[in-house]
Amino acid sequence: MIQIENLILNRQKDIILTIENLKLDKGRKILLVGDNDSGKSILIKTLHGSYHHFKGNILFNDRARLFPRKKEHSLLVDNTCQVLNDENVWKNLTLPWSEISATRKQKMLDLCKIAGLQENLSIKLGLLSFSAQKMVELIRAAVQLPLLLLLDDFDNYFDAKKEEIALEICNYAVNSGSTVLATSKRLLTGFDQTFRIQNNRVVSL
Amino acid sequence: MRKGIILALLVCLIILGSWNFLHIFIQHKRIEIKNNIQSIPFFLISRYIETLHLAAVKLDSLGYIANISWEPDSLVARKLYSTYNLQEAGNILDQYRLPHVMQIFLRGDKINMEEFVRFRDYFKNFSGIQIGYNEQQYTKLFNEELSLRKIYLPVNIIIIVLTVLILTVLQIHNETRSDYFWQIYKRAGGRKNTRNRNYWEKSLILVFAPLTLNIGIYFLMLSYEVVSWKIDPRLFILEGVTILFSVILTRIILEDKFS
Repeated sequence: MIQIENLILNRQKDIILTIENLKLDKGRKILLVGDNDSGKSILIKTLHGSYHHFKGNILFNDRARLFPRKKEHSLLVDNTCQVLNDENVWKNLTLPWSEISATRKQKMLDLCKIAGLQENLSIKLGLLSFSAQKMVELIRAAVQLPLLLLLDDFDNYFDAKKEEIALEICNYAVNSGSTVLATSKRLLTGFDQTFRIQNNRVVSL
Repeated sequence: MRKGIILALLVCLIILGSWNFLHIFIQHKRIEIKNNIQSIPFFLISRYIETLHLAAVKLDSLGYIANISWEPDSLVARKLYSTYNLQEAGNILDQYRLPHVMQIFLRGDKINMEEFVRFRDYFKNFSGIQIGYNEQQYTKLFNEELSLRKIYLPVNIIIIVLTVLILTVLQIHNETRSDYFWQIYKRAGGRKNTRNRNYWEKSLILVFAPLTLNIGIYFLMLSYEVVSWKIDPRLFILEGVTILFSVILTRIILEDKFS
C-alpha cells in the first residue's frame, strides 16, 4: 500500500499540488485525471523518486520512499521512449535481466501474444510503431511486478482497443499485488478507482 | 560495446608491445656499447717490466678490469717484424731495447666516464709509464651510454603518461557511447550496480589480458631465442600498474555516470 500524507508539490516557489491524505491500495488500477499543467506528471515523478521538490510523506508499505526495499520499487513508463531501437523486441523485453527464468519467459511470451507482438520478437524495435514500443515497455515493466507501476499520459500512447490490451497486461501485475497508477487528460474506463486533480487538489470520483 | 572493448584491448596490446620493444632496444643498445668498450684496448707502456708489475697490483684492486695481457719487449719486436716485414732489419732492432706493453680491457658494464677519467689520470701520472688509448672511441661510447641512461627515465615517463592518456580517453569514449544503453537499462528496471560491475569486469580484462599476452609473447620469443635480452620483471609490474591507474582514473572521472 502506498500512503501519501500532507504532500505539497512545488515548482520553484509555486505550489502545484496539495494532497492531505491519499491511499493507493495494493492490486488496484488507479487513474488520475487532470488537465495540462495540473501536476499529474510531477506527482508521478515524485512517487517514482525522480522529483524531490516536495514536502510531506510518501510511504511504501509504511516505509519512507527514500528507503524502499529492493523488491518494493516503482517503474515508470512515460512519454520518453525507453527502448533500444537497434535491438530486437525480445532483447528489449529482457533488458533488465542477464538470465531469465522459464516462468518469466513464458509469461512474457503470453503477454506478447496478448499485445500481438509474438510475430515481431526478432524485429528491431525501432522499426515498430510508437504504440508497439510502449507496449514493449509496459510488458517489460509489468513482468517485474513492481510495487507501483506508473503510467504517465496513458491516453497518449494507445487507441481505445490498445488501451484495453494495455490494461489486460497491467492486470498481470495487479493480480500479483502491484498497484498501477496511470495519468490521463480524459476519463478512461477499465480502472478500479479514479481521481481528478481540481484546483490543485486530488479528489476521488 | 563489444567493439569498444576489443579496440581498447588492441590499443593496450600495441602500447605494451611497443613499450617492451623500446625497453629491449635500449637494453640491446647498452649491451652493444658495453661490449664495444670491452673490446678497445688501453695500453700501459714501460721500459721496465717491474713498473708494469707495480701497475698490475693497482689494477687488481679495480673492479672494472675485464682482462689484462702482457706483451714483453721480445713479443713487441716479433710483432713489429711480422707486421712490417722487418725480418731483414731484425739484427738492428735487436740492438735496441723495446718497451714492455700491457693491454688492458675494461668492463663496459662496470665503468663509466668519470671512473675512466680517474683511471686514465692515475696511470698518466704513474712514474715510468706511458699510456696509449683511442680517446675518441672511448669518449664516443661513454657519451652514447650516458645519453641512453639519461633518456631511459624520461622515455618511460612519457610512455606512462601517453598510455594513461590514451586508455583513459578511450575508456571515457566507450562509456559515453554506452551511456544511452545504461540509461535505458536503468529505466527499464535493471539493477543499479550492474553498470559498475560491468565496468570493473571489463577493466579486469583490460588490465590482465594484454599484459598476460605480452608477457607470454616475450617469454615465447625468449625461449625460441628471438630475443636474448632479459626484461626487468619490474617493467611488467609497472605496465600493469599504469593500466590499472588509467582504469581507476576513468572511474573517478565518470563517477556521475555510475551513481
